[in-house]
Amino acid sequence: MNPRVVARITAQLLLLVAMTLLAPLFLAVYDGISRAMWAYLVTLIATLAMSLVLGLAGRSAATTALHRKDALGIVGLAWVCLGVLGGMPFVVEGAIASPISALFEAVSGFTTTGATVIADVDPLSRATNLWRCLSHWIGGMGIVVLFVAVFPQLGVGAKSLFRTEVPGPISEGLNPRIQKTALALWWIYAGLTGLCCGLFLLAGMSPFDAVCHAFSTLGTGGFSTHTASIGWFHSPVIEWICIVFMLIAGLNFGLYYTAFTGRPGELWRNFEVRFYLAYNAFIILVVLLCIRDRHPDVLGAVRAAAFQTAAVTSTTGFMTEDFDTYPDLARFLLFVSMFMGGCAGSTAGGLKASRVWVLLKLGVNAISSTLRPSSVTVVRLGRTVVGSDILHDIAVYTTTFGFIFAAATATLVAMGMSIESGASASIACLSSIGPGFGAVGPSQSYAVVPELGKLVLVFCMIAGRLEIFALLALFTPEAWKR
Amino acid sequence: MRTVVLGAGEVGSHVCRELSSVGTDIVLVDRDKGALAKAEESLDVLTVHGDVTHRSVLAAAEIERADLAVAVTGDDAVNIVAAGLCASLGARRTAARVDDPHFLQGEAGVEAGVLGIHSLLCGARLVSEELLRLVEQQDAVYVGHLCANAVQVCVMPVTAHSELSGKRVVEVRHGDRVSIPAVVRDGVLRLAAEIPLLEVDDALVLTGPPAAVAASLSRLSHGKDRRRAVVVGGGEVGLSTARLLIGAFIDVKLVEQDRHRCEELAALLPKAEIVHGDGTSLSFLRDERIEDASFLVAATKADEVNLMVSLLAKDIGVPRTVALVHRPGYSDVYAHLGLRGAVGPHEVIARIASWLAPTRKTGAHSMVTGTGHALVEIAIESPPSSVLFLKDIALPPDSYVVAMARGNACLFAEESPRLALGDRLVVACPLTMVPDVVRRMHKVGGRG
Repeated sequence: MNPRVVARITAQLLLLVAMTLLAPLFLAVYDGISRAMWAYLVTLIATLAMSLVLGLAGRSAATTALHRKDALGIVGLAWVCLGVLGGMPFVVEGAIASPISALFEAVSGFTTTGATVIADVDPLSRATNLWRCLSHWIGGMGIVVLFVAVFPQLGVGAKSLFRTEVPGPISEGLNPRIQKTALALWWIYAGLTGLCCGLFLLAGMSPFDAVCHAFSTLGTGGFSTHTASIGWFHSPVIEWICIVFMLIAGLNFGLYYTAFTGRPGELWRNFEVRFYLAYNAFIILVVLLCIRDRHPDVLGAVRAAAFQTAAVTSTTGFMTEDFDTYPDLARFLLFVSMFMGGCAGSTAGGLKASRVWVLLKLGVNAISSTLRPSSVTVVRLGRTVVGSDILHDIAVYTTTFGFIFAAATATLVAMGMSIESGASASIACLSSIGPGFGAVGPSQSYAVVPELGKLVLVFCMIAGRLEIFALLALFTPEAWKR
Repeated sequence: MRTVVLGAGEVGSHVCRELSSVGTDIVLVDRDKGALAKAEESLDVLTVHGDVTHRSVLAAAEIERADLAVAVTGDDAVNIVAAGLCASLGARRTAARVDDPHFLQGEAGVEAGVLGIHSLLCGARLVSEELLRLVEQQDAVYVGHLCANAVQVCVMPVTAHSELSGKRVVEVRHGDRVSIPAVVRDGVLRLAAEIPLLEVDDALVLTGPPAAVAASLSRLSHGKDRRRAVVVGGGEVGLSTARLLIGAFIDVKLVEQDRHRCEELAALLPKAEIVHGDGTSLSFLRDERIEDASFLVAATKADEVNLMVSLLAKDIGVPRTVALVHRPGYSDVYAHLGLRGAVGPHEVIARIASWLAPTRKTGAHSMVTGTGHALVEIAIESPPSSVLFLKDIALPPDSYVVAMARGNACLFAEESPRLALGDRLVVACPLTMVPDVVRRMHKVGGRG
């Protein structure tokens, strides 16, 4: 990669980050909390300084043409900066003592994981809670995608940037120009967020809570302004709104574009959407059967089952109940659901529904071909046939995903965590869900994870958000050659 | 503005590059996944994989929303079928590349209306017009192709040793289909009728079909002394170049290696001297006394041969050489080797295809080099409300309609024809007047 080009583009990108920092800064000024104000002011200055340094380093870049390697470098550097700068206000304000925990919290925010090291978030300043939820929202569609959308001068290089960060493969029905595509996705995303926020307001949330929770819901994050999460409100209406919008955020945003541009039928005809919703319905049903006797009314039980399931399958990680106390069958199904996540092209993490379906079909085909060795079969996703190159990619991706999960679990267990806690913490971070089971369950926090373990989980979160290979490629020598 | 480009080969990617520079959204369709992947790397386009003649594939490319569809695969028949399909499926404008001139009826490089396709672009003819233009370029200040290559506008200075000075404009023998609507004197554009006698340092504005303008330039700048040209390569490009040269009153010696083809050429070109031999053989070129030629055109099918022929010709002492380049990027190699003038069919087709695009920018104008004037192309897009003749259009001072095109034909602006839907006008005006011209033309249903 060309370090000067990487520095120059990242410098511009940091200006965008600096702009997002203005929101918590203004809120801190409005609330008159000087400690929070200083925290965000210092961070803002640090961001601008960083941008200036990178800008000076890259000012002599002979060309602004972006190659694939440069795009990787920019996304990698941008995420490092986001983690460090995003975590800075937590330390300065005193919300989190250890810098590594602050890094964990920030990365958890930007990767829309929602795993928190703060045991009790209610006493935090409003500015900090806004920043935590805002980081979900920015990370959901991606700061680099936003950058591509608002900086038209990137040209063709924008495509590599976009592909590196956009959540999941989007191909159908979008605009031929990458900048317009990115812009359209952000508009849809912002529109849905506004809708969600409005409904929360109508359901009785305070404006601040409505904005924060709308950010968290659409980004499939999971940070809340209350320790008891959505359960704090004790409002069935809010819970139902949240369930619906968590599922909406778990669907392909490319399909919303198609729907908005005049073909709403595509949304329902899409096979992945059907599979994802059917899968959710099934899990909700089983969880409902498991927890029926805990709730006096049926509707309450349905709501609790639907909320906890949607929170896990959309990788949001809100909660209204502690699902770690559910019967083992429900707990296990939720654990398994953590691997799948949402649809391709959604803000949700995980393996993605289409990959899981393709792997299932591949397995069925493999079995049938042992019985009939000469029969030729193809894997279909709805009506489209999945090519062998894509099958190969999916198999490799899933295997790598599994390896990272196993390695992270092993590391955490070696540091003294139980297998249940270690495994659920790894997958909850890799799939960007947030709460796991055991020591990192919904009623607990990640504060118990050793510092080194937090770094491992930071790696998992970024790997999961950038779909693994973009991050792993940064660790190869080829990426650093010019 | 949305364009669908069918075919992701050399021409296709060139078209994409030209079009993306004018800011259109491009969908690129090809049967070859590898070619699409390559295009994705360097172009900001949406790719659709599939056969360009399949309706399902065209539907996937949303052809009904396309403002322009360009079929530029390597197969003429495929291009014509695909472009025809696009036209019937609702693309606003369509163009197809054909290499074989027999698909066209006339002698021009562009033909409209075949099978509902707006423009058939003949690579061989367009490139030979371009070769001829390159040969004659040095005599003209500005050479611009307008109205999708139907009209060429040239500004030719009157030099001290030219026979033109002291003549009246009507006395200038400019050839049949060419007109001289205006003259630039002291940096001001004047109607030709207002100029009593031509003086040194005046500049004539010549307009007409490209081939005719090239012929006219050649005649005006060289007077009665016959010039000689050597064309190496008797393929379609060589043949149509020879035709154009003969039309420009230049003696042509055409060198072709294949005996059988030589006989065909001799039948087709009675006025040319057809020579059977190897254009890369030094002794053969010397025997044919090519050093007496004013210029040489290397137009064989192989880039290596064209390059070698150009180098040999330069070595022997031919003052000018131009060469046909098949592979994009080789033009730069020619420049490195000190050879001026190399042109490829892909560039020419890409440029013309991009002119076909209805751009959103007001006025596809280009500066007339050295005179501070712009040429604004205006298309009449809504039917004129009443009977409107060209002379009735009120233009700002020092602005004149210098040329006009209807379909593929270039009309004489002086005769002030009645305006019709789809006509394209070329207005020459001072640079500062461009917005004014566009605004005034808008009133009569024109769009710049």
